[in-house]
Amino acid sequence: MRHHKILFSGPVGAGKTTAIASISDHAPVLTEAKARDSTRLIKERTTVAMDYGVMELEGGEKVHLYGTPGQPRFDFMWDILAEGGLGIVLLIDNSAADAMHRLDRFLRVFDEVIERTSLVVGVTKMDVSATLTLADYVDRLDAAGVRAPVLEVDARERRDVALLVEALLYSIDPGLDVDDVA
Amino acid sequence: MTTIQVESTAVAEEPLQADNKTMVRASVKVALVGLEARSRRILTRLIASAEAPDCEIVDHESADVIVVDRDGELAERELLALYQHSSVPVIVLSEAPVQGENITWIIKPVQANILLQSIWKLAQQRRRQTLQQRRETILAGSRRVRREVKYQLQHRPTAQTASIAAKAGKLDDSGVLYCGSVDESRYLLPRLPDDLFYDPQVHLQSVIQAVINEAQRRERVVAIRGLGRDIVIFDQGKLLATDLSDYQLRRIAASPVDRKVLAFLLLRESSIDIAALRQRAQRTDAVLWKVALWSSQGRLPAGADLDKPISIMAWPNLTRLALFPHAVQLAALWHRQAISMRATAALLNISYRYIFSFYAACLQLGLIRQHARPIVFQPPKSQQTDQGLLGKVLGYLRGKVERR
Repeated sequence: MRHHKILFSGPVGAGKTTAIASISDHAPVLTEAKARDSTRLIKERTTVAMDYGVMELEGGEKVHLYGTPGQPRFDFMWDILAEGGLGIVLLIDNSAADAMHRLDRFLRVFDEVIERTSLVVGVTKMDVSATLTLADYVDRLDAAGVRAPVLEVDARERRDVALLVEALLYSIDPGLDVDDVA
Repeated sequence: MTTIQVESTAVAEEPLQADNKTMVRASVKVALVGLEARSRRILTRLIASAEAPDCEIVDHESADVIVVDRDGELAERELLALYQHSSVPVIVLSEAPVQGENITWIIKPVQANILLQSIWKLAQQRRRQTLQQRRETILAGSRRVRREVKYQLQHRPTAQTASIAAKAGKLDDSGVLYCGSVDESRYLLPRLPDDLFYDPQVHLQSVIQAVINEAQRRERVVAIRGLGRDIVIFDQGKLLATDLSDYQLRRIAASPVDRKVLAFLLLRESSIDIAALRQRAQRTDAVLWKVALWSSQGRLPAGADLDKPISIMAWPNLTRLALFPHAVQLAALWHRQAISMRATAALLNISYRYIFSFYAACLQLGLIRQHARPIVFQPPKSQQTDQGLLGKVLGYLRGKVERR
């Protein structure tokens, strides 16, 4: 039986845990703890190991959904998690004062991972703050040589998260069809 | 003479109101031939009922399936003979067996479920044939397109391109609401007919765009008057409020707008209840997108070139825009590479109606870029996996979210 994975990443508070919960077949396994560092200024509880959800496909195959901790000190986990992944869903909180800086940091630290896998960017909380537009993110990605879909999402909305993952799949292969099952 | 008796327990007396789901599905067009008045009434009611939510009665020239009453006094035998040689499948209702190429016989008294199943099955078979012919026609029409498609297929990341290239039978049976219902065969004529082009400049989309530009330039609220209800654009051109329903907007968008009847008013924010406007506001990009789709209806903006490679500079914000079949797929392809619309149709084997609609809407949002030659901006990544898995994940997501 084959198992595959999609990674959800992004800074603290961007909505990774919520996004996984919205498309997982089972209630996701959360590894949250009371926030202690600067994270506590953003939210009371945060992911300390990883979140885990699963999509159970026809024929018994599974796609595992991993949400990686947003704090920089967990960066070491990335290479391990990205190995064999279908792609990365990067969530950015648009209401964060340093949202663009956070995108830059992600692109810098994970450039090797991005190089070998597909990326889609979901911008959350645009209803809270619209100072930065999607075009700003597209420009920054272009400047970094990264061509990826950038879509506005509400991580609580299953439709938004599903469409984001669909964008990831079509970015891997635009000729993909729902009938193309093995 | 015998009349048709339809054995059914649940034929609705009144046609059902189409909900959103049925509105975006292309209906199966059924022609009724040779039926006397009572039989026609019964079948019309059946086809308009809840048991056949996606069927509609049309004349025989535009039908997907023709139903003929072989025993009716009005049935013209000559007509039946003609249909035997037509590409449109014919269902013959008769007490006695009827055979012939392209004919499906249904014995009387007719059972509703058997008739409806036969209509669906035959309509689907016909669409598959049409799609296969479409790809063959496109590829046969131009050596250059064949070369381009071959080149593009080499840049697909998964290994099963040959089987996909050979596969023809996809059913695109939705999207009428945003992509129109132009007969598929018209897209495949050697020269695209003039009526498959439209001029965005004389449609509502250009009026709204001009007013958005004005609202941004003057930093004022601007209202369009003369369309029955006002359209008010505010918040630096980002928001739009109107009491026109989507149905009304769609009707206005479908035809050229007479600008002489329109008035444009610059309003002072102090004279308007902005909070009330905000409560019923829509984003202008979302309105422009859907109005462009409603104007296009599967047609191409005047001046567009089917053979010129194009790309999009960024994805349209599809989570906040009206979605229609293949929009995500087209966004992915045109963001990844510059490719002509003709090659797109052959590569993805999808109808031009979706390609033209997507092009029209992206053009309105300023996303389209023209290129001198095909380019692949982003080669496939090494980690990619097989289409079978990706197709399953796609099916999972679509099953999870019934948005189509």
